[in-house]
Amino acid sequence: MTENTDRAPEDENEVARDRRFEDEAMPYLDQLYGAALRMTRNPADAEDLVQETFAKAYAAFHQYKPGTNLKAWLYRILTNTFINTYRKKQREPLQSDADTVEDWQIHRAASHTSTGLRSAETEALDSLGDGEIKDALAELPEDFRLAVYLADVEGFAYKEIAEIMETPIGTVMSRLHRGRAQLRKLLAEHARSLGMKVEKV
Amino acid sequence: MNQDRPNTGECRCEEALEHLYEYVDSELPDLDLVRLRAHIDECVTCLQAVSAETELRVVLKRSCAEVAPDALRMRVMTQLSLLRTTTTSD
Repeated sequence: MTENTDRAPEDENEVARDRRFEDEAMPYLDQLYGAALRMTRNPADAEDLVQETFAKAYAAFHQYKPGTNLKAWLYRILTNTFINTYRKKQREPLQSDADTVEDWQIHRAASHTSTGLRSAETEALDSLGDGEIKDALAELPEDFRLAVYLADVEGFAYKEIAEIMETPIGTVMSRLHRGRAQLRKLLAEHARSLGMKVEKV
Repeated sequence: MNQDRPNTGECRCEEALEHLYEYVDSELPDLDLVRLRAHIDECVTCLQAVSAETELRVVLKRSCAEVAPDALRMRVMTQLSLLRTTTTSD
């Protein structure tokens, strides 16, 4: 087998690259599984999705530039695989960003006062179990759910989310804004249905 | 942030709440960040809004933390060794 010189780093042989993949990518297994669960909303699909993601990442690892953001690179593969395979399988209709980004910018000033969390809601949050929080997240439309998860749980920057979801930054901000607003509303409803005292939104 | 908005002068609640997410997400340009922070540090309402957002993230992170099943870890490792064998036997 001839040495392939366009792989990075150039002097790395396949054995060393395999080891590097295992050392660097495997630690993200739990996180990727968590993200896959939020995407697919069921453990069996989440496991398949993660396995497929690792297979694709392994095959494309020579394209990954060492020292750049491996986590973002893996999430991009995960998200792509989910959108191309599981979105179709789950027959969830494509989320249309019905309102334009401009509409959102015009309305966000007004909406913040009505969607922002009140202190009573924050207190109610503490009483909600992990299950209720995850249920509320699962109820969000897919594109909103993904954006909120990538920002609030994984802490990705807008620019990184834009790359992972292959969408302009303005769309990311719009999805985040609307997704977070819906999530807060759902959480307040969940808390209220459990008989907690929550100010009316 | 919008080009047409003045970047100098005092920041007020309206502006701080409008850009609350960008503030909490650390996505504001330095100049705006300094102005918003100066207001938020002095304003109970805005400070509470920031705390509420921060708190929600803590709760979300806690709720969404998962551990991959051992079976999945095995599947992935097995798959990697299979892929490795296939590549090297080419």
